[in-house]
Amino acid sequence: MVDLSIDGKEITVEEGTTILEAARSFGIEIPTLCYHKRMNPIGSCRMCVVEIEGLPHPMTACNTPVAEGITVKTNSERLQAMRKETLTLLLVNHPLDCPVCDKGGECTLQDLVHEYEIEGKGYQVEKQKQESVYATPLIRYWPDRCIMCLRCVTACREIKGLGAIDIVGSGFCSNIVAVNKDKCESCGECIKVCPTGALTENVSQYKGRPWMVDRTKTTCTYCGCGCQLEMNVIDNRIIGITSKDETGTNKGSLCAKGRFGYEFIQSEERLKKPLIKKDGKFHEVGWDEALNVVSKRLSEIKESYGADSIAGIASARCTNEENYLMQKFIRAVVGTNNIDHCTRLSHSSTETGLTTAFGSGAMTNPIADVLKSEVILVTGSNTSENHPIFANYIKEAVLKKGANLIVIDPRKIDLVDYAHIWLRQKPGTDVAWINGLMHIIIKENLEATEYIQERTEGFEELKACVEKYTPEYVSEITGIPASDLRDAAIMYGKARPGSILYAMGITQHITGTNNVISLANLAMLCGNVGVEGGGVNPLRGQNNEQGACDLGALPNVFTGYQHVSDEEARKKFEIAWGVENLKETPGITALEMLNAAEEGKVKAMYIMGENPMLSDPDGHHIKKCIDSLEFLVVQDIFLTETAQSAHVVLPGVSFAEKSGTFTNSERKVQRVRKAIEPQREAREDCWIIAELSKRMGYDMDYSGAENVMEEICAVTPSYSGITYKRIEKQGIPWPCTDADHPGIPILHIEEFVRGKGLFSAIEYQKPTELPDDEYPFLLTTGRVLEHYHTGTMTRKGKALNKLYPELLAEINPTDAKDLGIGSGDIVHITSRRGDIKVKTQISQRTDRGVVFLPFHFSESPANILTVNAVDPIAKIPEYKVCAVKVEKAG
Amino acid sequence: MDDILFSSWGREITDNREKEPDDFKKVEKLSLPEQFTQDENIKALIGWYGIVLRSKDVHIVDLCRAYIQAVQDESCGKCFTCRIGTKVLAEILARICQGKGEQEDMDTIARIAPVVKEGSKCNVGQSGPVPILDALEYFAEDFKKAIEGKKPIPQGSYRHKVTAPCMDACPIHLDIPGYVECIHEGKFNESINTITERLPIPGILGRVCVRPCEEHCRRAILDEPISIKHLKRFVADNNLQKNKELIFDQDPSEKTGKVAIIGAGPGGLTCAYHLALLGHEVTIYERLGEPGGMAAMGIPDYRLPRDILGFEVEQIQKMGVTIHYNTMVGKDIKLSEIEKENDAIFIAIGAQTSTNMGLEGEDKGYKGFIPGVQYLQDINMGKDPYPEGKKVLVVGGGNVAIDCVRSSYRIGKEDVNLVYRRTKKEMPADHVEIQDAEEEDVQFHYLANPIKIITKKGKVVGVECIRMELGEPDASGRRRPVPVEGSEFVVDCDILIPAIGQAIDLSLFEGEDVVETTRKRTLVVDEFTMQTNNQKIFSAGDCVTGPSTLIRACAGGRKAAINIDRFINGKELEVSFEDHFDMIFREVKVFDPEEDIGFLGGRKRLHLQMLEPEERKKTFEEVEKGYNSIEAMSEADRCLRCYRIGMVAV
Repeated sequence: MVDLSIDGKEITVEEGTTILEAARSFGIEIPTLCYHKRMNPIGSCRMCVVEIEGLPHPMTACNTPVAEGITVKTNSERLQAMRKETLTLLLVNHPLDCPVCDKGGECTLQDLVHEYEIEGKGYQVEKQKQESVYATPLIRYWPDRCIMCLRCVTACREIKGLGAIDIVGSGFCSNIVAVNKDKCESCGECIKVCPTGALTENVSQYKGRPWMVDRTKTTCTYCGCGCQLEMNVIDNRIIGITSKDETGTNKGSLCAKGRFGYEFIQSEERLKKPLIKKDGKFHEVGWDEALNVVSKRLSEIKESYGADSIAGIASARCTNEENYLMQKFIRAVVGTNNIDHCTRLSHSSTETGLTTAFGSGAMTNPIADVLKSEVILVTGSNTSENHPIFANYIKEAVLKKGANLIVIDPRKIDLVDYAHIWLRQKPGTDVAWINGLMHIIIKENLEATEYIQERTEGFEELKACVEKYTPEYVSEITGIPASDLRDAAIMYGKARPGSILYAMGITQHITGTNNVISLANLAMLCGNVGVEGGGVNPLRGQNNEQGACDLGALPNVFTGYQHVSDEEARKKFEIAWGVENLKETPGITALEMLNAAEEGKVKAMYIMGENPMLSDPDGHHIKKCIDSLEFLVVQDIFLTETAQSAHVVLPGVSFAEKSGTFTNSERKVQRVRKAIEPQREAREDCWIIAELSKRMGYDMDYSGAENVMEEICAVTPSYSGITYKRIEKQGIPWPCTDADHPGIPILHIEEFVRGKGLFSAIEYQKPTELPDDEYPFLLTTGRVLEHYHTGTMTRKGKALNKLYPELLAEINPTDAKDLGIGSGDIVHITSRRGDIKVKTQISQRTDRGVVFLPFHFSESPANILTVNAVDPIAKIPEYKVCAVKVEKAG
Repeated sequence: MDDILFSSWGREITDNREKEPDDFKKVEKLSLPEQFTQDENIKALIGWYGIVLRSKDVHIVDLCRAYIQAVQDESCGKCFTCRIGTKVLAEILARICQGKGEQEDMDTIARIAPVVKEGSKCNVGQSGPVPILDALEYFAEDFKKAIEGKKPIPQGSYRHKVTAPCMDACPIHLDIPGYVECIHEGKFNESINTITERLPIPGILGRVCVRPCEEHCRRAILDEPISIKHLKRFVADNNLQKNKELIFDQDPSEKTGKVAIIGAGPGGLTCAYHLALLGHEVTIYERLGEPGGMAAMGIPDYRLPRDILGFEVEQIQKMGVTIHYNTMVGKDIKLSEIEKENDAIFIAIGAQTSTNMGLEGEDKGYKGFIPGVQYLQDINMGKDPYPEGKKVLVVGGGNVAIDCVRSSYRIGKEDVNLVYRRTKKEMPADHVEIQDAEEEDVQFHYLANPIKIITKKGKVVGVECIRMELGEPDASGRRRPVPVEGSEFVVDCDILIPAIGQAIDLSLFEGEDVVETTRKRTLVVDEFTMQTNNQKIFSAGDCVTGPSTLIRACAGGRKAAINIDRFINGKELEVSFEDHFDMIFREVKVFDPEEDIGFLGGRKRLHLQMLEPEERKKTFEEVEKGYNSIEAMSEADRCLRCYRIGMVAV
């Protein structure tokens, strides 16, 4: 600890604290323009100069660490004069155009000029016209207003780890330039940190002064990061998205989708009224008519074929409350357990795998924990594109905390640039390399012996199983050089704690469950579960995928993973819902529902906020299944490919038009708040379900989402302490078992949920369909940063389409040469199940013999090609591996 | 200096403006060359430390205008005060010089300049206004006249250059503040690129440089110098780990040619690199089986792992440089043959043999008598030079001597001693190394000198030494050691290693006077162009300077490459702009150890983690662990970025 005096106050702070931090922690304000809490001191603005007794030179408080016994003055006449002069100089190249500047009213420079009483006429110099082209078309750069504080440059480099922009040139002619334009992710971190109006949003046609804008704090609707943001609304119109530094896991950071992908909300293409198909054509109808038809048809089908002939698909994009009501509707009103949602397609193998090993299928640690990790292993997760905010943390851990990063991925994803070791495995060989790592760790005696003994079971079986996975054997299967595998094993094995992050690259295989169990094995082997900075962390793909699972939108469990076969649980729900004879056998899963439709076992489906026509594998087959249904009702915000096949379409609302909660990937339950009124005649999903329910003879009477949450708490132990009041400011990670319980950020700390952690001996198994002479390429699918899922939201506005306008299939340069294809050429990609035409992008990211295809595009749906093979336990499809051929289109 | 009209250099004010030349007061602390180039006299100097006016032809206001404009041009733009303040100052001064000055201009300058000086982030802004403020104080009348005169002032002719104390001290003038700042900002690629603009072997120098820069680091005045060498190593290692290769942009000269380089040491490699950048076809002839010269053979692996050297040489080879190993020029191939086939030759053979001690029997081939360079070379090739020997005595105080003693334990010698004729203080070896050797249990015998080799059956069994005392200072400024009569004593040893200096083997000339050499057997070259009296032959490094530092050899190699390129292109060889300023900076001194910096210090450098002495003395594993990125960024943050601008009026 260091003692010093600031403005006559004697204070004691930790060594290494800067004078600025020390002063601020004791309530002494020193003016700054460039300083930003989340970044290393920049030292450009020189406003924070202070005097230190005995030293002739003033020093900047932001980057001067405290020293024992110094006496600091922060506000002498000399300093005042210096600051005033600096500000006057600053106005040389900053126009006083405050009346027309978007930032007027919340501009730090404006505030300081006011505080220091600087008058408009200062010094004049000859100005040069500067380029105003910026790194991304979504942001407008006003070089005149730019004070060159370098916050944007520093944020891009330090928070995003990109360095897309930098200062170029010298002296007065220096300028902010996109030095690595291709690295820009259009995340808008630069806008967020800009203290003046030099960077402004370039998406909305509508602008407004800060005091005219209503800002509604809510949770982002895209991936599982669960970012907190503010919807900026004037007259019921969203004019932009802003964010605050200190809120949420994202700490004010957003990605291109979160910050600029809001146009869909008020898109002209939104469903305006309920639709009923007559003679193959949709007709707009009133709500009463639509609801009556749906309730009548569902009742009739239930009557004729039994409750199990009806199936429901809930939605990982809808709120917890809506998912709860949907599964309640299917279980209590229809009377079947046939309820599922898209987690089946993304993380069902996580549920099965991690539940086997640990007893709980959720992310074990919060993402910020990686800042405490010594080593981070990322596999099957293109984090910077799919979970951009989580990727920020990984980069920060590497760049600022010195963590080692191991990336194991068949594609040379962006994170590889930050990795110490990158292993490129052949797709579908994950169990082999994980066993290989464990083999080496055990051989090198790096396993956590005490931990294994005290906290786990099954180690001997595992040990025996991995014995034969020598680096050489693994190398043969995976294509990873033996020495690289050894380096990675030693790096992960030696450093504690180590965190494992994974996503669909691990789960979407026929061995998905086994892959997940293997990662759990690896983490337990090194004692990394139940510790800060450790864990096995599945990154959830959708905003509320975790919540939809938690709330029982699964065929085998009620809320909080209470199994339907558990009699006590059933009793509890029967009492709570006032029904009898809840089914004790699990229902069927999403893909099984569709197959059953084809077989005529399922006659009617109620699909809320999902688009299986595009998202499910083997698209031609899916269409056939859907067309076999007697009755399909789709509830969505757009007329999706699936909705087009429906008999009745019910217009729901987007996240901006309703209240509720989402549970992010870290298990944090966070508020969703209504920012605007529903568009046209769209209705909140809760209201729709309740109305249907009422018409089918079961009253759902809720005063609103909060009221639904109260019911959820009453029946769900892990959610029972969560109330809207408690999560008003920030979310709580479940389990949260009573009104005072703070929630548990890290699971399995003293004991695994299942008691002891279970090692399972897992053998490597080949993917279903590997390339052969006829179909020589391996197809793997995934997402790109700019789009989301089946594109129903991200493709409805101009902003994101400017960044990524059309589907591009990634092909390795060597393969491209062999095939005679150039970048931008059109190719046919054919699998045993269908073919699509698509433009190519020649890229080193993809290995030889592999084609990567994003699945967001309905005009070239990647899932026409994918294989309808599933993991036998989790029933997750093998999206990541199938065989195709590629031919240049004539 | 006694021809100075006015000087405020280093705060020593001398004002002879009103005096007759004979009455001029001398400027004590300053010496300033007469000329810039042959045709240009230095009429004034203006820079970080004030103004020196020699000629009445120089108009002070125009001098200030030109200087502050230079400061503005060199300002990095990363802080408000320097970026805008110097711009405003430059425009005001320019206006006055155009005859458009206004009454309040002097007040404005007097208001802005101190804020720039005190408020700027680095020394560009901190030192830029210093001479302007001097001018305002001592030349106020000239300013007033210029403003009131309303007439344009004729523009003078000026030359300026950016330097920094560390940059100036570095023989190859690496942009140290630049690459250190890049590290601080986490821009490691930019950092390595800044280094490789001049130096192609940062991993090597980042480990073994004697770092004159650190001796001239201004931070040392506050607390401790920046760990420049280790920061260089960090970016080099980071690059090796991340990129696996360096990519250099080759930009061929108008005319390219064939160049032969003799010696694949640091000088030869640096020359080859710069020639390859310019598109020339380079062939290196190396007498040993691997590259590196003394860097490989003279420096043990625990200081410089061979894979680092190998990696950096590989990058140079990838640019198209061919290396013929095990080829001794003069024996395996004649110099005249090489001369015939090439457009130019660069000789960088170093100082590869040991100097004799002048003791009887030195040349008799006693078993156990092994010259230092030979001893290290054997060890570096994986051999124990004399397995039977267990007790080692090394004579000398330089880095070779220290490398010999430290390597000895590592090849299993049991008792290791060093004899040096002066005291530890005078030892030329790196003091960090001496301390490391002490920690590893080497016995040091100071103030002693061997006078007789004791042998038995043709084997060394001991050495008779005599005690020394320090007498009057010699030409090097160090006190000359004098033997103390009757103080002879015997040290038992079975290996005696003379390491008192290195000599140059000129056998490549096969006894002919191909180029001029000195009595000390060094090659004579032009100090600026590195050309010998044979136009086609250039040379640099130890074979020109005598045994010296790696970085000096690299600097010579670079300079030679630039001039070889000019030679091939038929351009006249000349003293470079940088050399001209070097001469000025050498006189006016860029670093002033007495400077009162006035900042808060107390932020010690971050020391490297090292293997423990007991562990390390048994192995050739690298002793120092190197910074990780976080440590490197934090250490780099200590840099004061002491860029400063010197300008002369000619």
